[in-house]
Amino acid sequence: MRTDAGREPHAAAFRGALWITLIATTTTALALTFQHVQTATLLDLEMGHLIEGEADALAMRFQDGGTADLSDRIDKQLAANTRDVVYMVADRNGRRLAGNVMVWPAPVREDRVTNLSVMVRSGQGVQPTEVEGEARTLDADTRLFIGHLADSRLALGRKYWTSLIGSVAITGVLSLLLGWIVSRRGLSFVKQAAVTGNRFLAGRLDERLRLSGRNDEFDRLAEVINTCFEEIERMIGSLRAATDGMAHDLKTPLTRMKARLELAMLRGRSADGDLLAENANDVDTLLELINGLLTLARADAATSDSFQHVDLAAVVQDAVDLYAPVAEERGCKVVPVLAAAPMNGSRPLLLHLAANLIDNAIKHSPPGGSIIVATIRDGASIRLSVADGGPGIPAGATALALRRFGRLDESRGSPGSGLGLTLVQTVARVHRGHLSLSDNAPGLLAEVVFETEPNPGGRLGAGRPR
Amino acid sequence: MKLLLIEDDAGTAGYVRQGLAELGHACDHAATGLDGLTAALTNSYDAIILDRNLPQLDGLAVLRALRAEDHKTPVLILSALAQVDDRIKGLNAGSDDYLAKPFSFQELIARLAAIVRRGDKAPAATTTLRVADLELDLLGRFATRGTRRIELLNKEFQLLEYLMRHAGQVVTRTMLLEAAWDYSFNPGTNVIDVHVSRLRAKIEHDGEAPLLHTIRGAGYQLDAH
Repeated sequence: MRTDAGREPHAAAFRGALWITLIATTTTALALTFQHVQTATLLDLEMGHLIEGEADALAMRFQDGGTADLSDRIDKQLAANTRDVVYMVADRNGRRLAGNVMVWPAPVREDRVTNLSVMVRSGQGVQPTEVEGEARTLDADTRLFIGHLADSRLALGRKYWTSLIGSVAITGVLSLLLGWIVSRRGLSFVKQAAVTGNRFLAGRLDERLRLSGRNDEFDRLAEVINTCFEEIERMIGSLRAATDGMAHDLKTPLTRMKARLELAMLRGRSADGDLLAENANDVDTLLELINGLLTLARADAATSDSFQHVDLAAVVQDAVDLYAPVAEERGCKVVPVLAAAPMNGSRPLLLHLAANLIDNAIKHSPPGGSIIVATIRDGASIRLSVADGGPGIPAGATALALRRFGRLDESRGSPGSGLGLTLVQTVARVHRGHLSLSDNAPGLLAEVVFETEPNPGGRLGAGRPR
Repeated sequence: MKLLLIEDDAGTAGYVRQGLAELGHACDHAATGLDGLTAALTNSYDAIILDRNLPQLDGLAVLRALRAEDHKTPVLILSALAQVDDRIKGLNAGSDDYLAKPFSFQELIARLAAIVRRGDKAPAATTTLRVADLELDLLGRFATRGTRRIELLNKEFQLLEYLMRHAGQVVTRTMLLEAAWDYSFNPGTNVIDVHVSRLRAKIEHDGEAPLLHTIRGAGYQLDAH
């Protein structure tokens, strides 16, 4: 893997910040717009009421005192000039009778308030002005127009735009900044993982990801990655131990063979019966070792897609049948206590597992001893146990016993390749099982616990043709 | 026996041919799958020894071609691929036996003899097997020697049946293991020897003629002599 130490990638953090900004500004703009629309509606309503009320009051004046009273009232109102209201009283032909609007606005309506441009007289002369207004027919010859300056509405509109731009700008800058910080924080885990992974790849196999302790998704991911690291470390460790053991166990017989052949050459004889037989024996030892290693490698690579439905009890019974006479030869007894144990697995590998455990127990059992071989189905797990009454394994030596080529006597003089329990462990692992060695007081209790599917013979198996 | 060896490794081929010649068997040799197939189809052999990894035409392809031609010569496959699934593949393709490399010469000879004889006579639908005064009842699953009835455990019965069906031939330990357990692995030490000696104790009482002989360095032989 290529790494670029000088380059700090920030693309993901920047993308995260941009998304947060987009969301924040859109939300702000929508909220402001909604508020503006609400306010404008309210203002419209108020304006409508105001104009209606004024028109009603004026209409009443007109009914009581005619045009003169009406214009007097209008003049007074204009003089007070407290409200931004414009008036016009006109005859049928649009001639002005009173008010400060100079020309009758043609598009005015009687049923509702509309926006209009009207000519208003003020101190500075006559100017076209934007108003919202409504007309009233007072009698056959008299019409009234009341309008309100639209300044506040225009001001509101302007205010809307400036506040929108302002808010979006502030939100944008703030959310970009905060989003950047938050995204960087979220991605700090990824950064840490990448750094740790690089150190691991560089050969520091004890590197692990730190857990935050918050027990969140990142911690779950860190645990998974750490488990992968552990598995890699374990595999490299066992590979190293294997090469060391192999170097010894393969080279010793080869060295002996070479020496014998050289001796034969020195003697000047082409063929010596004993010598050849000894060589053949050494070759057999080597072959057995290589076969063991190959079986182990195959077992290590076994995957569950090649598994079939097997009854572990039947497989163990086969192994017991195979080894029981051997045990009797050595004066001990194999006692099978087998309960049906259906599981998915590889029959040859499971037989190998059982055979190795039983063989091991026979080798270490004292004369007259019993070896109890049991299978028990225990809820979602299946347990295979082999118990002997031999010397057992001293506490602290179990790790050595399980190691590839690991033997408890250093001389390697005892029979066996030192692969037996390693194979058991490997076969157990590919079957989702675990081998444990414990004290049988006296003797050794070797137990393999397989985790089976929650419902091995039920729901899954029922519908499927076998 | 007249044999055909299809094997691309000159060293192995030379060794096998020499050994066979010393035992008085004629052996032709083909170094490629194609040559081998041609030889097998032109001449008549008692058995064919077929390597799996061959140039031009793979061993299994040669075997399938032979069987497609309805060629019935027994075939023994030799292969460095020795796992159970490889074995099953070979047997499914129509071979009569499967032997993993490296093999002992004794094992090869014993297995060749077994498959050649299997070809000689069709397995009769018999219910008893007989060697000298030893009889095996295949239905009752017990044996009798003279008038003495011998009760057999399941595996003992299977071992004895195999030995009796191959009476007069050398039978190796792995052949017995495959026959009685249907597993192909090396249980190590002397596991099969122990089974055979127990079987021998049952069928050969004091004063009875020995039937089950140990052939040093090879295996066992059930025979009246």
